[in-house]
Amino acid sequence: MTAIILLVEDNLDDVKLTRRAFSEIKVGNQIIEAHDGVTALDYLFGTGQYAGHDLADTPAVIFLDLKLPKMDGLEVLRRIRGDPRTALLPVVVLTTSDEEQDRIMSYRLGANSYVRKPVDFDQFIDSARQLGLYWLLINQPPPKLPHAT
Amino acid sequence: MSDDPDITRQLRRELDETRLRLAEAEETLDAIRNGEVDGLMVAGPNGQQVFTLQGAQEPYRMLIEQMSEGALTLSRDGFILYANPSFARMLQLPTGRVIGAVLRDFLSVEDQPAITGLIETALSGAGSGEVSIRAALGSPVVLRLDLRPVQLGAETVLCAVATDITAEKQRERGLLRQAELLEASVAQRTADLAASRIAALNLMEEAVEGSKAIDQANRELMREITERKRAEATVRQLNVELEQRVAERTAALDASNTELEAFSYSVSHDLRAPLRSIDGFSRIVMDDYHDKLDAEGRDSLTRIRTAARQMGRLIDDLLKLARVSRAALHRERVDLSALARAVVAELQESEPGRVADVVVQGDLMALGDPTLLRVALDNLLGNAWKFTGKRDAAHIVFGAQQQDGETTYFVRDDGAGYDPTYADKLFGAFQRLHSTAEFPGTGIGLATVQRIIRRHGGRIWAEGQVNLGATFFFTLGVSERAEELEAT
Repeated sequence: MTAIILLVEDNLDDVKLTRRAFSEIKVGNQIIEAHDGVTALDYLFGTGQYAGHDLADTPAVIFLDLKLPKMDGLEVLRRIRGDPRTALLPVVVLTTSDEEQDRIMSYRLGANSYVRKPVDFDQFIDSARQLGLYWLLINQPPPKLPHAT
Repeated sequence: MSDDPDITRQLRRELDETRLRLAEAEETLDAIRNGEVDGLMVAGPNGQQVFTLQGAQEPYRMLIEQMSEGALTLSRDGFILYANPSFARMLQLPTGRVIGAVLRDFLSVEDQPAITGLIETALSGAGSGEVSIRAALGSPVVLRLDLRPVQLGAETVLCAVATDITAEKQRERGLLRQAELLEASVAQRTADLAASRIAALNLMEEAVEGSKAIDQANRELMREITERKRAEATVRQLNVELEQRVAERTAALDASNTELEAFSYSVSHDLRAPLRSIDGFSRIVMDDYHDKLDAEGRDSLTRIRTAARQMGRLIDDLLKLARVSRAALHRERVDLSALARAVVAELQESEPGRVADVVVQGDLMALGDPTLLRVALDNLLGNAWKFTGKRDAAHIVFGAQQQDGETTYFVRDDGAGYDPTYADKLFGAFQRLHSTAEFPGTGIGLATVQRIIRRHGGRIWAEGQVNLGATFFFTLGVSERAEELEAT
């Protein structure tokens, strides 16, 4: 079973480009899309539309955009870190924002990494490659915690 | 005894007379004894004689003779039958001249008529009055006479006591005089008082007038004060309004700043994403449909990508400019030489193939915000680097010189330069003096540098010629201080 990548991104163009980038660098992992924060949390905690979902399927890494509808990225991050079931999951903030306040808050709330999405697609591809390489191959994910079912 | 009845009758008559005389004599003796009589008129061989009794009368006589009061006896007609030495002294005459004289004659002319009335009154019971004696010498003497009727044998005479009241009278006169004077003085005083009352009344009137005037003045003063207070109140009100306006303006500025931040934030996210899509999908089309595209098609897509990237750069530069305006200025000692060297190193790294001779003057210290100064040098040295890009060997100098007591920094290059005709456009935002084809750029760099320099209180200007390079000069407003710092 390959590691799951949870991509929390509302911009469908960006989703497509990201999938394209990962496919170009031959990242074969399953990519789960969540187009807003609520859906992402539903997936992680087995609620809402993902009720009954096996929580053993924790993602190896979460790529989280900050600018999301309904619940913004930083709130999602807070909730992920707030729950013991997901507190240790690696979260990479992947955003267009270069604003210092976003960076500070992201790290303060416990993000593992902060990556700025470049406008230039070539650079974007390059970034995706490096991210994929690092988080899926080099980085050791946290041990899976026993779940109360 | 004879038997003559006439002799017997005569003898009886003589006996009766003798008894009668004896009774009278006994009465007289009794009277003498009792002090009722002190003189006798006796018919003698020489006519009637007055005999005064000495023995029993002696004490009384002594008293009368010696007393200081005057004593006299007056007949009904006003003859002085007796006068004691004191009375004579009062008249300033010897006693002999007084006794037997008429009292009236001794009195002053004014009092002479009155004495008769006084005697009459006295005869009926008692009388007293004041008479003034015609003075023999010197001042008139005033006597007080107290008269009493007395029976002297068959006669009624008046006994009088005279008291010298001259002194008293004088005193009286004196007192009267004093009283008169006093009255006069009182009258005067009253008159004076009246006068001063009038004067006081006048004064009061004046005072009232004066106080009316004062009142008037007061009222006017009050009016002035009220006006003044009103003016003050108005000024205060205006001040309050001014402060309010300032507060409002500050709030508006704060609000606008916040909006600006929100705008920047939004720009960060929202403007970049579509650019990425444009660039990304253009690239994908180029890759996936490469063989289906002719040169024209490829060219179009390339232009699309270039445009997208340019817009991305514009956004980045705009955001930088905005940040420069917002950021707080923290002045500290900055080593501009080191900063410049770091920038040059980065530039060299980005284009390793470039041959460039960059001279950075050493130990250029300044007092300013390191972050903002870094951005300024990024732009200035970056420009120098860019505009010397077409030269085989670029020459760039970063240094400083003293001009009129202040330190002027400069970045000089021997690159493409610029047409001084358009010098006023040099620092305008989005203003470019070259096309993007010649040299890439957004036209915001110099505007950003100018804003940074201005915020430091300095000035920036340039000199240049086409193809002869350009020099950008700037001051930081506190160069003297930097020198002071250096000295410490």
